[in-house]
Amino acid sequence: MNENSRKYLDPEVLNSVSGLELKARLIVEGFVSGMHRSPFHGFSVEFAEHREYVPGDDVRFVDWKVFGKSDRYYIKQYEEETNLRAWLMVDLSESMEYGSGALNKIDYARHAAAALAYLITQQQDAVGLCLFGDEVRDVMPAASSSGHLRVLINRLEEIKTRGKTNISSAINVASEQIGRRGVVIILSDLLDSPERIMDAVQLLRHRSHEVILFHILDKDERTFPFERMTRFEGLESMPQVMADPAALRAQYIKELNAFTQRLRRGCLRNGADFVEIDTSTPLDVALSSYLASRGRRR
Amino acid sequence: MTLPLLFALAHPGLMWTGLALVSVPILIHLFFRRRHRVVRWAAMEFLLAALRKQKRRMEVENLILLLVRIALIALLGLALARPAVEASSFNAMGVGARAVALVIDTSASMGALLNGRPMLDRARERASKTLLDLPEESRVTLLVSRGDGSGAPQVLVESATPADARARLGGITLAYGPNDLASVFRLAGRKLKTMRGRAMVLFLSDLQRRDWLPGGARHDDLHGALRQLATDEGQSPPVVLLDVNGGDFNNVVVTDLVIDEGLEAFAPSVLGLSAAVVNFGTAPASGRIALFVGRADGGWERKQSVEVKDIVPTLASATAAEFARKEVQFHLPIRKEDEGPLPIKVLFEPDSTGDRLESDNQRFLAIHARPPVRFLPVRNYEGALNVLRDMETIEVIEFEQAIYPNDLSDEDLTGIDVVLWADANIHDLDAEGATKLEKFVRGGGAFLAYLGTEARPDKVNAAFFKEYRDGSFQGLFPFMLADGNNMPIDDENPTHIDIESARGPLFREMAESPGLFYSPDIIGFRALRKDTQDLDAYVKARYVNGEPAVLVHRLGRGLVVAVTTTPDERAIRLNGSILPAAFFFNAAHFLVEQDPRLRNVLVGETIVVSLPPSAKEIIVEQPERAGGTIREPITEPDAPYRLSSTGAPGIYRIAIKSAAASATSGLPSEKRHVAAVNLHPSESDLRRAGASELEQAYRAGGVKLMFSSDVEEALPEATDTTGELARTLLGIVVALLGVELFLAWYFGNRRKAGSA
Repeated sequence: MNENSRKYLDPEVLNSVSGLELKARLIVEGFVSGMHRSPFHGFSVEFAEHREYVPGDDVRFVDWKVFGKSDRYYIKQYEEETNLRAWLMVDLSESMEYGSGALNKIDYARHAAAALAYLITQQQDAVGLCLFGDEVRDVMPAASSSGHLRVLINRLEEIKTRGKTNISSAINVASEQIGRRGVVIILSDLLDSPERIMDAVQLLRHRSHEVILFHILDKDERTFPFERMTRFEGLESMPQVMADPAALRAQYIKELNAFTQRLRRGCLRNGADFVEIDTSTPLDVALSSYLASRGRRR
Repeated sequence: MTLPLLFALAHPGLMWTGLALVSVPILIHLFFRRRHRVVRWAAMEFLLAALRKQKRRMEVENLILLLVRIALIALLGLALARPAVEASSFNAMGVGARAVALVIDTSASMGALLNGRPMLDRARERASKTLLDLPEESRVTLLVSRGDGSGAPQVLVESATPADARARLGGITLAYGPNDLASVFRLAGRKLKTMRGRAMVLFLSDLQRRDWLPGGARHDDLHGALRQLATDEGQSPPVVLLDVNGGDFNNVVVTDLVIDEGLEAFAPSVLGLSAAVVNFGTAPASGRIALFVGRADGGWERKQSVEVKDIVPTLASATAAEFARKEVQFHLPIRKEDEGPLPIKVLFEPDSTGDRLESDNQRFLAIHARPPVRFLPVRNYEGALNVLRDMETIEVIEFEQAIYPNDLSDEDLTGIDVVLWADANIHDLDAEGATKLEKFVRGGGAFLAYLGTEARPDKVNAAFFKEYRDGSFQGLFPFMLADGNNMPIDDENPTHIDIESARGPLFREMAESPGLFYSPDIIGFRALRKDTQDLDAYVKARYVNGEPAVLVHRLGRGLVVAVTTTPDERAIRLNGSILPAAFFFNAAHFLVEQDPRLRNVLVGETIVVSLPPSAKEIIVEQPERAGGTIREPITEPDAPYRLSSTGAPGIYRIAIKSAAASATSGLPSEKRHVAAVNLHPSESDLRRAGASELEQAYRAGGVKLMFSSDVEEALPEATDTTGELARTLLGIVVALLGVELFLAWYFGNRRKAGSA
C-alpha cells in the first residue's frame, strides 16, 4: 500500500493521473506513507501523546525522561497548530513552458504547488496563491478551508504561461498583499537577474517571512545533453541561435553553475531556503523541504 | 590534357573528380547545418553566454578541420590524376637544368610499321618533343646502338644542348641488330656522372627484347645494369623505359619460320618450310599466312598463302610458351636461277587489318640456293653414273670420250666440284696427275676414287702417298695403303683380327690425325655402323668378308674419299655388283652435305666453335654490315671460340688457323663454314607478352616503365616527375589524414573533457 502510494511521487507516474486535486492528495499520501507514520501533525505545539520512536523520526522529539524511566525511545507528539500562513508563488513566465520529460516546468510547479497546498491545508494551516510572470497575475488570499483548497487547485489547473519572468517586481507587489509573517514558497525557474531575485528575497525576509526558493529546471537545462546541430529558439522573446551543443556543453554548464551558485549564496546570506529540483525529481522533495522549513519555525 | 604552362595530368578526369570531391566536406558541413533540430529553449542566457565565449574557438577549430579535409581530398584527387610538371614549366619556374641520357632503340624491330610509320620515327618524334621541352641549360647525351650489328652502344652526341641533340635525331637509322641493353645502361650511367643537372635516363624503345624477361640470354646482366644505375651512389637517376609501340597487344605474330632441311637448298629442289603464328591479342583471329620470295629488284614476289582460322587468343600476361600456335607448311620450289642468297618472308595477313602491328606479322629468312654439285667422272663407270644422273642435286659433267686423271688439265677442273675416279687403275694416275689432284682437293674440291680390283694398294700407294715425315705428309693420303699396313686375314676365323699385333706404325699416326675420318654413311653397311666409331672398327671393317673400306680424308679445303678393296680374290667378287653404284650414291650425298657445311644461326645468337688444340688464330669473314673480316689470336685454346656479334644477317665463314699447319707445312688452314642467316623469331626480341612481368620486376628498383600509345600524352610523363609528384602528393595526403584524425580526436577530446 505504501509503495503504491509513493509511486505517485514520480512525475512520470503522476502524469497518468487526471485531476490536480486527486494528484495533490496522492502526492501527499505517498509522501506521508514514506514518513513511516511520522505524522505531519508532529510539529504542533500542544502535547497530544507519546508514540514509540521509529527510524526517521527527528531525535529532537525523543522524550528523554521516558527513556530514563523505561529505557525505551518515545517521541512526544503535539496537537496541530493552525496559525501558519503559507504563500505559494508560482512563476507563469513563458520559460516555464519548457520540458523534455513527462512534466514540463510549469506542470511540475503546478503539481508541487497543489501538493503543498494540500499538505498545508491538512495541517490546518492557511495557504494563499500568487501567480506571476513579468507582473502579478492573480493573488488568492490565504485560507485553510477545504473549499478554499479546491478553489486554489482549480486555479492552478487553469494557469497558462506567457510573458517574461520578473520575480522582483512580482514579489514587491505580492508582499504588499501578504500580511503577517508566514512562509513564502516560490516555484520558479528563476531565469531572471540573480541580484533582482535576491533583492526580492531580502525584502520578504525583511518582513519576517520564511522564504523557500524552489529552483525548478528541466533535466535538459541542467545537463544540456544535445549532440546534433540544433537551432535553439529562445522563449520569452529571446533570440534564436544555431549551435553545436556538444561544443558548448561545458561552457553552458559552467554558466548555469555560476548562476546557481550566486542564487545559493544569496539565499544563504538572506536566510532563505534554496532548493534545486528538476522536473524528473520526485515531488516529495518539495514537501519535505517545506516541512523542514516549517520545523525550523518552531 | 595539358594545362597552360605548369602541369600536365595523366588522368585529368581524376583531377576534376578530386576537385569535385573538395566540395564534399563543405556540402557535408552545410548539410549538417541544414539538417538540424529545433528546440524551443528557456535557458537562453546561459546558452548565449557560452556561445559568446566559445564561438571564436569553435570557429577556428571547425575552420581548421574543414581546410584540412578540403586539402586532403583535393590533394588526393590531384595525386590520382598523376600530375607531371612539364619541362617547359621548369623553364618558366626557373628550375634547374637536367642531365638526360637519351637512348633510342635502333634494333631491327624498331623498323616495324605501326599505322604505316616505323617505330623508329615514333621514337624520334617523341625524343624531339622531349628535347624541345627541356630547359635550355640542360645537357643531353644521345645514345644508339652501333650500326655494325654488334648491339654495342654508340654515343652520337655527348653533353650537348637539347637543340644540338635534336639536330642529330634525323641521322639515326636502324642498326639491324639487337641492342646490348646492359651496356647501353652502363654507358648511360657513366655519361650521366659527367653531366650536371638532375639526371634521367630515357629509353625509347618498343621494348621487344627477350632479355627483359626471365630466361632471356642476358636478362641477369640487364637487370644488374639497371639496378646499378638505380642505386648508384650519389646518382640514382630515374630510368624511364618508354614504350613507343603504343602498347598494342592486339596482334597476331609470326613466331617461327623454319626451313626443314637447313638454310641451304640446292637447285633444283623443293624447300620445305614451316611457319607458326601466335595470337597475342584478346580475340580469335583469322587470316592468311603468306610466303614471299625476294626479287632481284628488291621487291617481294608472293608465292603461296595458307588460310588460318580462329587462332586462339592469349592473355598478354602469359608467357610465350603458353601461347597457342598455329603452324603451316610451305613447299617452295628452288630453281637453278635462284642461285645465291634468296630472301624469304612470311607474313600474316589478318582478315581485319585494323591498326595491327605489321612488322610483327612477318618473318624474314635468307636461304642460300646453290647450284648442283658438278661431278667430273674420269674413267666412266656406267653403273655408278646412272645413279648420279638421277640425283637432282648432282650435275654430271660428261666428256665425249673417257678421260683419265693424268689427262686432266687445270681448265678441265675449273668449276668442277668432284672428280670421280671410278674403277681406278693405278696406271692411270702418275705422280704429276696426283699432284694436280692434290692441288684441286686442297683448293676445295673433292676427289672420289673407287679403287677397283686392279688398283692393288701396293701400287696405289705410289701415287696416293708420297712421303710421311715429321708429322706431315705429301700426297693425297696420309698413309700407305700398302700391305705393311694391312692386316693378315685369318681365313679360318675372318671376323677375328688381332689389331694390336697387326697394325703398322702408321695406324697410330692415323689415329692421331684429325683430318682423317671414316664415314659409315658412305657405304651404309648396317652391320658395321655400330662398330665404326674409331679406327679399330674401321680396320675391322676393311677386311671383314672382303667388303671394301672407305677412307675419307680432309685435305686442305677439300676431301679425298677412297674406297679400297682387299688384295685377295674376294674383292673381285665386287666387280659388276651393285656395290659401286651404292657407294657413289652415298658418297655423292655425303659430299653435297659436307662442303660447304652451313649452319642455321640466329641473328644475335652466339656461334660457338670448338677449337682443335693446335688452333692459333681464328678468321671470321662476316657480312660487310657486321664489320667485315676479323682476325683474332686464340688465347685460350681449350675454350670454344664464341662469336657473339652476329647482329646482321648473312654468311659468316669462320676459319681456324692451326699452329702446326702454318708452322710446319704452310698448308692452308682448315675452315669450317657457319652461316648466320637472319632472324629466328623464337629468339627475337618480340616476346612482348611479359610486359607486365617487366613492369612488376622493375617497379621496386627505381625504374619507371611507361606504356603509352600517344606521344602527346606520354611526353609530360617522360619529361619528369609524374610518379614523384604523385607519390609526394599521396604522402602529403597520408600526413594530412593523420593530422585530420589527430585534430578531430584532440578537439573532440577537449570538448568532452570540458563536458565532464
